[in-house]
Amino acid sequence: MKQLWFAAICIGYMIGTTLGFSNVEPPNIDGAHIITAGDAWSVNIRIPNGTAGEQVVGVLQNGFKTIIAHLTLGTGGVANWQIPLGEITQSGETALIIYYGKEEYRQSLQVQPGVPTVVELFTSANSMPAYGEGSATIMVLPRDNWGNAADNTSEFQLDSLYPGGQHNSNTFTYKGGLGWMTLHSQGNPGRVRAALEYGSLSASLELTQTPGEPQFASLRLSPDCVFNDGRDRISLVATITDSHGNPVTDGTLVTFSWRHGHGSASTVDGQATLRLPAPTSHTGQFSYRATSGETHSNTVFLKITEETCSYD
Amino acid sequence: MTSKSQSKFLLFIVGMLVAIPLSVLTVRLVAQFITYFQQGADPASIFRAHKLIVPDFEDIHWSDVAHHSGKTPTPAVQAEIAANYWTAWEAFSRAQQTGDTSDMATYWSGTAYQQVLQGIDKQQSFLRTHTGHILRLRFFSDDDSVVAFQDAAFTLVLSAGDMSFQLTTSADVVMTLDQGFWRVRSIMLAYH
Repeated sequence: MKQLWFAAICIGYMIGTTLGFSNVEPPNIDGAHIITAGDAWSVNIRIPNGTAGEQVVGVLQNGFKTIIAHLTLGTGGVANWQIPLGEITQSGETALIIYYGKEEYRQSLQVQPGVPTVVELFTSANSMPAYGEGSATIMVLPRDNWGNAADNTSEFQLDSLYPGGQHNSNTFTYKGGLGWMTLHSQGNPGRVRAALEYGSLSASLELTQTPGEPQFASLRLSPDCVFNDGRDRISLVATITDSHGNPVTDGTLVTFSWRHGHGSASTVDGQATLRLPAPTSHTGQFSYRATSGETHSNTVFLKITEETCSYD
Repeated sequence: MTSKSQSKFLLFIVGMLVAIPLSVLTVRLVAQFITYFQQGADPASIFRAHKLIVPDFEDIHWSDVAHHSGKTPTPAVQAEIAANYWTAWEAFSRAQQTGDTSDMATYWSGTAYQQVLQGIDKQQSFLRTHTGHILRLRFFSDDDSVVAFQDAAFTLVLSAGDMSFQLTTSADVVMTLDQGFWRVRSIMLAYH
């Protein structure tokens, strides 16, 4: 019978060892489970059956930081680990590992980010087509004092002021440290001011709503009658507007063409001007036209005469 | 007479034994010299960093690229982001081992740069390996300059003193394209 008992104990021990069962009770780790980045933290580690003077090693993996402490058990097998202010600074789930002899125990500590103190606001485009035809993506990176991203539950709003005085408020989609939203254009060309306010934080940026493509073109000629003595210059002024009648973007190229030639100029406030000597070869009527993109202007006529010009 | 012939023969053998390796060595050195002047600069030497290689699929790959907000990056851009993110971890590991942080700014920026520098302390710990990065896209901006993704459940092996421990980790990452190079701008690590 004794032999049977002995055999059973041996087999049980072998199975326990093989499957990794430990006869050592896990330590009792007593400390806050949730703290805010930058806070001090204190934890009591009680090793059951531990004796005063024994060594325990604590490792705290917080973000990229590793904090290691060699602790000595006191009365009752308890070691106290105190981490001062400003040591645990990176938010996120932090791993606490306790080494006692050959045993290893793990527990997690949740480190929450602090209140955002810095916010970066930026856009994917500095300009967008007006009249609701364009959009830009606005992004926000809010950070606390330690550079941690704000909590996922945070809500950030952007207030936009459009050229016509309209106000709009949009909420960012915020996940994993980045907030983003699509800002749609509204109204006529001009400046859009976008501002974010969150507690005492504020950030702003400015976008430009640009006019559309050239849609209408009108051409004026001055003067429309000259003598053929070769002493006159004429001015061609093309006014180019978009589909809503607003001047096109400055710098839009306009090509002027006439029977034996062509020239070009860029728009300023929707107008492009070309000055050139009046033709002298012979008298008669000369026609001029302006083109910008796919848009053609009306045709204007210049009269070259040897007699008199009548200005009605 | 015989001994003189034998001595000559021995000298010949010894001479050959010395001459043949010398000849081979000389040819190899000349070949290396010529090759050196025929090739361009090593990109890694330009950036004082790792070799510009695409990491293996097991090291890092994308998952769920379709389920996200915004634009979908092209496969080439996905590969570029993944390679730069992986290289950022390599740079961190290397800086921990050497203590040289001079090239960290190539891979890390903003607050992530400040945070990763706090983790470089040769006395405390260093990263041995990082494997199994699986990236889940959250957002990619329409101007191709900002990306946010989650790095789900990768494995870090760290050493601290005479201890070595493995951590299953996830990360919320924001990277921005600065002067043609994707850098980690924000990162939040969670150990499970």
